[in-house]
Amino acid sequence: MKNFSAYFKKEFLENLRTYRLLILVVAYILFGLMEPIMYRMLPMILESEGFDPAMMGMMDTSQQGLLRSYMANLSQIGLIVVTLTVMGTLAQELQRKYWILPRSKGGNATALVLSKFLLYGTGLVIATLLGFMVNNFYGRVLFEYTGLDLPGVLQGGLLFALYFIFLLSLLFFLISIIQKGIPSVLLTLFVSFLVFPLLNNFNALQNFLPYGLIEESAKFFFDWSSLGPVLGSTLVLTALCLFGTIRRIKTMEIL
Amino acid sequence: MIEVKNLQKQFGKHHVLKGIDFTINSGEIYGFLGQNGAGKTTTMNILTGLTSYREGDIMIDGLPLQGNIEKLQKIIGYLPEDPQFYPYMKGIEYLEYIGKISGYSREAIDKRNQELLHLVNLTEASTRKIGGYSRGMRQRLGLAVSVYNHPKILFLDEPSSALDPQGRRELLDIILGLKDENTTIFLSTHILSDVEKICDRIAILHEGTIHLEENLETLQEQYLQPVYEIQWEGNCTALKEPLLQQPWVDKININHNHMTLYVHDRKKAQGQLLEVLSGFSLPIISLSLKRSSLEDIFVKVVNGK
Repeated sequence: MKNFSAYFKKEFLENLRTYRLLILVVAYILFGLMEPIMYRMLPMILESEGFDPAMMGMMDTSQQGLLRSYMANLSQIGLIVVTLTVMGTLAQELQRKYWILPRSKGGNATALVLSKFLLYGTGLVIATLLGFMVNNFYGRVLFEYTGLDLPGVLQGGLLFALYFIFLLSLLFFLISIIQKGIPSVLLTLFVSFLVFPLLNNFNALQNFLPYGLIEESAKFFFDWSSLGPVLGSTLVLTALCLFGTIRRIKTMEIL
Repeated sequence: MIEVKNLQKQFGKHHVLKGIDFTINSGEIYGFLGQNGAGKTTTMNILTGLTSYREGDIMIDGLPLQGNIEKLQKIIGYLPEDPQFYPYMKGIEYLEYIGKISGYSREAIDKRNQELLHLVNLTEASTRKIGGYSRGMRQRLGLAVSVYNHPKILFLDEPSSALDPQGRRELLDIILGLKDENTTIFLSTHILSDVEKICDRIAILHEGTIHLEENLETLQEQYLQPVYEIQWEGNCTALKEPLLQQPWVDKININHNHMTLYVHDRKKAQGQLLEVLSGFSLPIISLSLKRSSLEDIFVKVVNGK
């Protein structure tokens, strides 16, 4: 695509200098490390505080339980970190009018949006898979787990990352409409924390909500063929968000 | 080269442009003047394809702007009033980025970057991050970006507003150099002395319409004030009455040896004034016809006088 390599190289350079993706990867790995450590230390903490360590029995300390706890943290705190870290890349482009000079030289909105999406999408997949691997490896070291193998963990991580990639496209779309970072982040969080869980209560929608990817990813053993509707709808919604973002930027009035 | 007919633009209920018409000839420097908010930047954004317009016809280099924006952007250069750059990029990296977007080869980019950095005097600062540049340096980098693709038409929006006197002078030299290469330049500025130095024609945009469009020399001729300033060697109060007898003299103000003589017929005054003055025994030190500056003309047009 015309201009794409120039834009992609620019995005890559931006990440080298602003450390956005590095922050994401470090955050995911730290979350992955912290979870097994917390599970290991919690009985000791409870005991030292005078609680019965048997309270730990209320928590799922299995290998899958540990991963699910990690996923729960990622889908909440992790999502806040992701959206806040990534919002600037498009919001600043529009708000501070960085894109005007390149556009006046023939730069196009499609390359601008897709290069960002590709870079941050790839970054999210890598960060998620690394986080899942670190969490699983550390869990195995501390708790000597056996059972769930790496491909199962990585498949779970991949579905989880796909949900975040959809949210990335939604964030881009909202930024292109609102042209401000923080309100767009708040709306994205609102959709993920409130709208999707609410809609998920309707049976007719369950199979088509991208939110279903989170639930499916927590199973670790899944049949890809049964994921068709949710994967298809996520793909369509992501494409629609990106198309809307590009369309909006193309028709944006420069004042 | 650029032909604009009945161009209209509205933001909400506010009519920024109420149907403007102008033509810019090839190789001409066209000064576009107006108060803040008059619609100069909007006009530039429309002509560069960055903003849509409600009504009107725009032809650039023989092509209608509508439907040919991508094609025309290849022959257009644009420097916005406050150009914005990625602060984490170095000057040379930004030029390289623009070169790639413009479709240049690796070798052509290297060559063009060196030429432009030299032109805008940023060679030494090219390896520094743009975030550390002063406003003037950013303006100069913006100029380099705007002329990157050897544009046939260059739009400059307040290009010298952030520059120091030395930088301004260099910028005017660059613009004149581009004119020598037959680049058509559409210049918007508040610094009217710059316009007087380099523009061939000017237009004054006021309240959404063009109130005046004229060749600069003709304009000054038209607005030349029929007022003579005369400096005498001694007190000239006694000369007032005999001068007022002349049919072409309107009014005389005297301050000791300085006389301001208002005439209502400049042509008659030009023919007879020296003869009349030489008839007095008091020697004259100086005599001058007061010329209107562009600033005077601008104020007159904008205030409707």
